[in-house]
Amino acid sequence: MNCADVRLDEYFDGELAEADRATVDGHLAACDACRAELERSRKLEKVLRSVSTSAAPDADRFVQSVRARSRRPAPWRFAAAAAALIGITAIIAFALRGPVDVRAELAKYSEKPGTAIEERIRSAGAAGLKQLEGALDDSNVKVQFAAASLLFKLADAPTRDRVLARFQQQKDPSGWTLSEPGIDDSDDELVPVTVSMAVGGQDRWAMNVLSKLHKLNRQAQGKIVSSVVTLLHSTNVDIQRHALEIVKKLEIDFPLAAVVDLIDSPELGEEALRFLRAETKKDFGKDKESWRKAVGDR
Amino acid sequence: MSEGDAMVDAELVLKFQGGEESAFETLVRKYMKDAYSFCLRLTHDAQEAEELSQMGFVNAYRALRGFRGESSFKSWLYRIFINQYRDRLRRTRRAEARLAVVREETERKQSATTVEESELHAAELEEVVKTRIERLPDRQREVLTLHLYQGLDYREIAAALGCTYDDVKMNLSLARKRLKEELKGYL
Repeated sequence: MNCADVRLDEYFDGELAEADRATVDGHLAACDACRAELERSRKLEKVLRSVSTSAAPDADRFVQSVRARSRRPAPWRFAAAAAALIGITAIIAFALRGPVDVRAELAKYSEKPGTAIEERIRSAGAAGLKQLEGALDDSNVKVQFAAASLLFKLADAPTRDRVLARFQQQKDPSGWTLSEPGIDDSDDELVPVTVSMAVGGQDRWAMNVLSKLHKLNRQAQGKIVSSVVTLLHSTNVDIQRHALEIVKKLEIDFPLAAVVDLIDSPELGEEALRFLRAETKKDFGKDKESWRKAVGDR
Repeated sequence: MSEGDAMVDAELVLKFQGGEESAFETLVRKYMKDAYSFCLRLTHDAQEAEELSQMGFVNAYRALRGFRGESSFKSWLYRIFINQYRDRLRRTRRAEARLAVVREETERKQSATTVEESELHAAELEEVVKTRIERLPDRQREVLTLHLYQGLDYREIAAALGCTYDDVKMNLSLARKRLKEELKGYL
């Protein structure tokens, strides 16, 4: 075995399977250089571990502070989600005559769920399910969740999957979701996480939250602007692209000078120019100086 | 982290998701020391570390109902702390850039007393080690801290940082290589 092929770090960190460890053991027995390197790793670890940290804060005070800063999300939201998942086992057959007003039934269901309403909507067949899907965009969020609950119970698997994809918003493997902002000053604490989620590709959900935040909380507006402007200057083009999307979609006065800086980007230059033209009703091509003068402090 | 430990976490998460608020408090008490020391290793500032770790738990509380167990709770939690820290870094980096000249000057003086002349006291060694770790590229510092001080294995680190196993391996190896060189007087 060549020294370059020896997985010394993984060996040292206990990451190797038994057979691979044995192979490295065999090499170490015959190789002074690798043994010396391993010894240096051990010494380095000892030195690095010698660095202490100060004692942790008092546990009770810490927990109390976390509790105070955590707000309970609106309970109905989870009650509705739970209703969607638990389901009702006893279904009463209900014979109906005449057309069913699905929207009206849904409105009733959103206030007080019941199997009779379920059966009436079920009897409307595919047309009823289509209306339920449409109601997922209803401005009343209770109606949205009522529609989601009913779709879980009444729809076929592909429809349920579509509903799940809409509500789960779980592109991020860590599975983050956020509670909706209210009108609490502490809501601006959501900004960093929300902007991270937006640039992480969870656009729809995060944009929704950002949009509400900026309407409800002036302090959050400032934080959103500064977070997004920082991201516009990222070296990662994907992050820049998402940041530009936030600028385009959110009705906040972002400093346009930060967008001017994107003009030179091979990937985003054209998009940045289109946005600047639309915002200013002017066109200076790729002349950044003229753009800067034109956008001034905006 | 043992499998049993992960099981306990998973049970607590399920309890919390089922409405048992006290389960979250148990998780906070279990991880607060680790979280605080992790944030302190990254920030070198006790007040900042407490703020970061508290807000990490607040964000975890808000997000935990959506946690679906794709990674262990521990990796997921560290991911939140990492995101918090990175966000803070983005905000402070510009301000820090203004201090860079002062810092470079200090570091030049520090380098002049080369590490090879290792007659330093423990406190000074600690300062040198902290500075060297602080100067590592972000990803290398995160991987090293999670591994060495928080005891996460490669897979847990990959889940916490949202990167691959090979990225972890490479960054840890680069961090070690650099530190071995910079601290060779102590090894």
